[in-house]
Amino acid sequence: MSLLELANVSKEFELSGGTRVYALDDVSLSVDAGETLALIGESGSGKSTLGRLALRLIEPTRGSVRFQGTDVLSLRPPDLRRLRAKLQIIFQEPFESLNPRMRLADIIGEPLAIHRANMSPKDRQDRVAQVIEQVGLAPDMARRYPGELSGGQQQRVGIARAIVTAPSLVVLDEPTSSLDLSVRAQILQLLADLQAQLGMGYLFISHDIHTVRYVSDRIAVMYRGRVVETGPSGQVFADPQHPYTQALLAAALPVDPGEEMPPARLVGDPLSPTRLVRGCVLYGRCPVGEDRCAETEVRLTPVDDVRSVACVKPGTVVG
Amino acid sequence: MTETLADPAKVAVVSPRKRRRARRLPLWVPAGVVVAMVTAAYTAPLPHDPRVPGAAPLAPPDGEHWMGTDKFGLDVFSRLVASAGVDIPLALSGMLISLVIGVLLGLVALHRGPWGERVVRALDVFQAFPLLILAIALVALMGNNIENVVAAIAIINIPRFVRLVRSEGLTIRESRYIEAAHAIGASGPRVMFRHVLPNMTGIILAQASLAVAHSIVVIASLSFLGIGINAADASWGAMIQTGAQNMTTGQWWVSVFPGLAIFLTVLCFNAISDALQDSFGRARQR
Repeated sequence: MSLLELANVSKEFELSGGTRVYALDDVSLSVDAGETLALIGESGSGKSTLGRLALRLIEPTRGSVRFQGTDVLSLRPPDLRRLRAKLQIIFQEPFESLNPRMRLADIIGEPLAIHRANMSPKDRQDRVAQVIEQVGLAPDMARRYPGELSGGQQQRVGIARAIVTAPSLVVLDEPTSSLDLSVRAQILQLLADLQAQLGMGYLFISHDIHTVRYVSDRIAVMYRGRVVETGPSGQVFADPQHPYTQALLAAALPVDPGEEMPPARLVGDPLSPTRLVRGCVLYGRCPVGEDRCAETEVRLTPVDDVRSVACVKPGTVVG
Repeated sequence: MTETLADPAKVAVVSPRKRRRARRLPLWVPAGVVVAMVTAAYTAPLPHDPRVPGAAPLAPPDGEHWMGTDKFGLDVFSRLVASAGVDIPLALSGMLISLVIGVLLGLVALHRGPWGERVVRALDVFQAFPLLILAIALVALMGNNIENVVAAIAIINIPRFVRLVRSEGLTIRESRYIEAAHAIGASGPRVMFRHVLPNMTGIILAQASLAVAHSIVVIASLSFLGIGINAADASWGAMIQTGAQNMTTGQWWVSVFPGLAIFLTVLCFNAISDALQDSFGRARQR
């Protein structure tokens, strides 16, 4: 049994004018205990929406979400709130995600106040101090306000708040994308250390290929509301099967700035998310696309025991 | 000096704020003036009894009567000082009542449900009335006494707090830290009282100070019209009314000094509001 299982999840938003936005279309994925599944894709691909759906911070239009076998979507609000001790999130914007009028000790202690109501104030204080140390903050920072910290320190507070109740699953919504490069490496290292110590499953949302390569066990590549390819990250990076994955990896900036950039492989812009697409979402932009791609239902299909691709001719190498 | 040169980002970010701060009065100046006025009204030895006529009527300001006397021979300065002890506490207590009720109703108005909708509708109806006319009507209907003046002040100030709490709350509710609070499993009331409300205390206090300033004017208007505070008790509005007929005949001092007192008090509460908003805004940016 997987830790988290999303099955056939779709999310449609209705705009004020009545226009429907198809943010997620029939997405299924799972995260096992202790592993990191990276969700990678460009902005607007639906990865943040998926992360919030997994925590039921927003409700899906269709589909099911199971956490440790529990049907999350059928929980009543009090039960859902209780479950949140086990299901946590770390946000992209560290400062915005911290209440500016609360001291760090109160921010980090709040999940305990909610979920461990019978904990004595002394025990709670000790636990907060322990977590503050665990995320690499100085003990005397407990009395500070978020505005007095640097971006990296703020994100450490966000991490401390997420792990204080010892969750089993943490959704990381681009946790390092607003941080400086040097700080980014430290935070990624911290997240890896914490995962090794606490055995949490991570759903790691990112648009940065280098970060994903560094942190992930498995990858799910998203494009325009669908998962187009999944598999162990080593294999996906070494041998991408979907034309979009290939283009995404080819477009990553080379580590050596002298190295020549490969030519852009996708033509045009993504389809408008207000159109419900029957065929392949990449149709029209795909370098190997054919006419049948517009109409054929392309769903995620296994290509071997660990990898799946949503393409009518997976593995075609574009030259 | 070297420090500012070394860090151009600091110069750009910090200096406009400093410039703005330099223009504003620090909180203790207007607050001190208000406290001094109220304290003086209760404790300072007045040169004359504010309620007992003991001098020639309509005497111009001199060494004996610093601000002259009115048509009843009452000392204007003594009445002016005593009035601060009536007008300011009345305005403050009216504001406090409207603050408590208004904030609670504002939180209800934020609720996504039928009650939220009802409060917003009721507010719209309420706002169709001009506030001063409403206050006059309320006091006239409920009866001419101090309790009813306070009640009228409270009622006409409620909408501003409801509106403020609702509009601020709608913005704050979209913040990332509110989403974070939901994500850690905080209940609705917890999110409201621990996360939404504390992030608007500054602006609520600033608004409260403006409400006092407005109430001072409303109380003066009521007294001027002869409803509300008994004319025998000192009140700035009543003093202006007493001297109103004398203005055209040259005895300006009876009305002008209480007018200036109202002006100064309103100015102080406005400055307090500015200073509060400024200091809370700074805390938020920090």
